[in-house]
Amino acid sequence: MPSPRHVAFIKSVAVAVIGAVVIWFGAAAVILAVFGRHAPAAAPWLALAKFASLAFAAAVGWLISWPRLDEMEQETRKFSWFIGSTAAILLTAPFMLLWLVNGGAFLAQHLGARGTPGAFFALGWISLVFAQMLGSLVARVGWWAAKR
Amino acid sequence: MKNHLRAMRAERNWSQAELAERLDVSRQSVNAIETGKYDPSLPLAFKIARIFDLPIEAIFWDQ
Repeated sequence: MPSPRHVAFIKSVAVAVIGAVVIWFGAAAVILAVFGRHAPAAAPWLALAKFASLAFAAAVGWLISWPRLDEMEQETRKFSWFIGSTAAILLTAPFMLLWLVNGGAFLAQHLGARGTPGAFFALGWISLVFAQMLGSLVARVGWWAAKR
Repeated sequence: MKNHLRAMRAERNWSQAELAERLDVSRQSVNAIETGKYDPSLPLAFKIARIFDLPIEAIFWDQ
């Protein structure tokens, strides 16, 4: 017989998965009904719906997992995210300045025809998030080494 | 912050895992508290004191 805590955990996971599926398929059905099946204008809205479903699953997942962590693990995550991601933002700033040399010619050369303003923005956002996650991981390893 | 946690746990023949289960924390947390590498929050310190039936200041002291 599973404990009430275990049942609550299973219910929360179900909410995350079912909610994400409903958001994705529900939004996709509405978008396709409005724009038509092969309309190019539907593409960004479908991408947004996909992102919303993933964001919902991630948010519920975080809400489920966070209270289940003990206080030291919560401290570890708070520390590693704050220190690691802040350090990553500061350390990647010089790269941004390098990329701006010659008006970003270095990036434009690599992206070619795909180098639209939207692509540059997305690349910058993804790069920063990646750097923050990497910095957080490094800080977490450092915390673990110091506290074990 | 220093503490008598390891000695008090040994007196009761509890493993770190057993104490962790009673405190609803991980075994790594118990180890970190025992070795003084992690200072527990006030609620956790009170919980530890309740489990050992002692006042907090009998378990923890400022170094």
